[in-house]
Amino acid sequence: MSTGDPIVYVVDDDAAVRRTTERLIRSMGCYVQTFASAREFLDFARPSGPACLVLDIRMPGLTGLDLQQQLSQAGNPLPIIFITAHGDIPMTVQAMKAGAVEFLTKPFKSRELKDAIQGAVARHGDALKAIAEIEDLRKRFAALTAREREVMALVVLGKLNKQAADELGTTERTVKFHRAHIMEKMGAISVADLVRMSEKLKPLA
Amino acid sequence: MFSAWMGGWGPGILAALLSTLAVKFDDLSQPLHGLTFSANEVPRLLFFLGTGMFISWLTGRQRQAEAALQSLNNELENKVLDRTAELRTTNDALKAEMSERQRAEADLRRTEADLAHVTRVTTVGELTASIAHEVNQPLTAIVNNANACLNLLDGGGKSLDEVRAALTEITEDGERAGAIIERIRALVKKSPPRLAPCDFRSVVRNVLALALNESSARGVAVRTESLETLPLIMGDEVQLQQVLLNLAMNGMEAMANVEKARRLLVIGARLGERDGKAGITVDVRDSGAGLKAGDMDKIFEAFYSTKSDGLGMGLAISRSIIESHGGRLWATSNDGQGATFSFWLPALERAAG
Repeated sequence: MSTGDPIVYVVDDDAAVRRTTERLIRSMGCYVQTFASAREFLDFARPSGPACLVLDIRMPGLTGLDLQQQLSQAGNPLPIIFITAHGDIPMTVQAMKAGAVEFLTKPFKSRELKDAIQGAVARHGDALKAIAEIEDLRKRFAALTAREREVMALVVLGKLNKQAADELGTTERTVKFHRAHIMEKMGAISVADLVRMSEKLKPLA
Repeated sequence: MFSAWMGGWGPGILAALLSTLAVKFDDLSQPLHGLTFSANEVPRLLFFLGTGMFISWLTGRQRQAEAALQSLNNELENKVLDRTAELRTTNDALKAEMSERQRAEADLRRTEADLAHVTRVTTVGELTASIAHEVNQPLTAIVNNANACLNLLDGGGKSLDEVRAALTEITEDGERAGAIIERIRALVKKSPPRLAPCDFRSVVRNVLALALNESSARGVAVRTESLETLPLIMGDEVQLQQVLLNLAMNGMEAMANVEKARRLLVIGARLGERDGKAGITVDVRDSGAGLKAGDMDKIFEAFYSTKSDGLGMGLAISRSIIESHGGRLWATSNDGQGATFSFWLPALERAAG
């Protein structure tokens, strides 16, 4: 297995369910890591890379729902597939509202689990890509000088060089110079591209 | 003289007189002359008459005494007969009362056993969700393993060791599910109490298997203490399971409003001596709401419950079960938080030799 292969984490307090879920997922060709409790999972240093969490909802100590809440509070986008012995509706609703991708009732069908894992892993991959992209943008944005950030803010608002120069009390030529630097540093190919980037940066800025 | 002896007082006197005359007038040929007494004959005749009369009196008295004795005898015999009849009647009544009492006791035992059975079934009913979950776990494991086997075989069957491991686990999990069903069946089955030497640790194991799921659903941590060496006790394992299950469920329910991190149920079994007799003491300690001073006496009464949905039978039945095992059941308030329910059971006395 290379480090890029998706990992399926399984958290279940029942040893037999844990062991057999691991075997089943492995037989599907995925890499599996199991944990007997939510605490054990939280203490584990997870590698970056696409993954998903197969989580028992009812466990002593921290329950599956507790773990879901902790992950979401930490801004972790790890998709969760809940497995439960009961089709407990209030619990299901709560879990789905909190972003669970799937809710499987034990004993679950192999096919359902496989589909859920594939969907969840793909989703996590997308989420990680988006996060990495934003991280990258942030890094580039951080490399801009204070003046360049001021110019960029005006450019993405659709101001012409002359208007920006007037607002900043400088010459059109200087603005043009800054703008070229901004495009280069941010790696933008057009003003439209730069606007899209600034949109992505907005919630973080 | 002989007549006097035979005849008694009245006839004796007559016979004595006649005999006296006969002695005087033994010559019957001169009846008229003989009526005169010569002076020297008088003392002899008087002596004869006196002796005859004395003998008559003696025999008369003897006869009288004999008659009195006879009548006393008869009277006594009658009295004995009367008394015997009386005693027989009393005895019959006593026997009837005894068998009535035995019947009543048997009825009571049957009713108690019925009630214990009903509450046992009720408890199992309350545990249904947990039991379903408990059975579902090995089923899930079985389905997972079977699916894994199919995947492995579809993949060319290169990992036959893995397939074999999975199949071995399938049989184990099948047995695990069967054991759960068997435990439930034992609790639900209606059978008369059967005393046998039993190891209390197995009672604890079975109860934990039933209650652990319930505890995780209720967010209660369960801990067992000091269960390494325990003497055997004489008891009905199903009834003892019922008692322990009841106490454990009560403890968990008592912690419903306690902050989650503090919900701890401790089941401890230890050696315990009571009135000089060896035995075991079992404690079920919770960190729940605890007992109010006024509740302490009432909780063991039938139909008294501190729970809104409680039937109020659990503790009353638990106590009667423990007492029928020659033990005691009691409750104490913990120093910190919650309550401890304890019971003591006598150890099985080792057979001599």
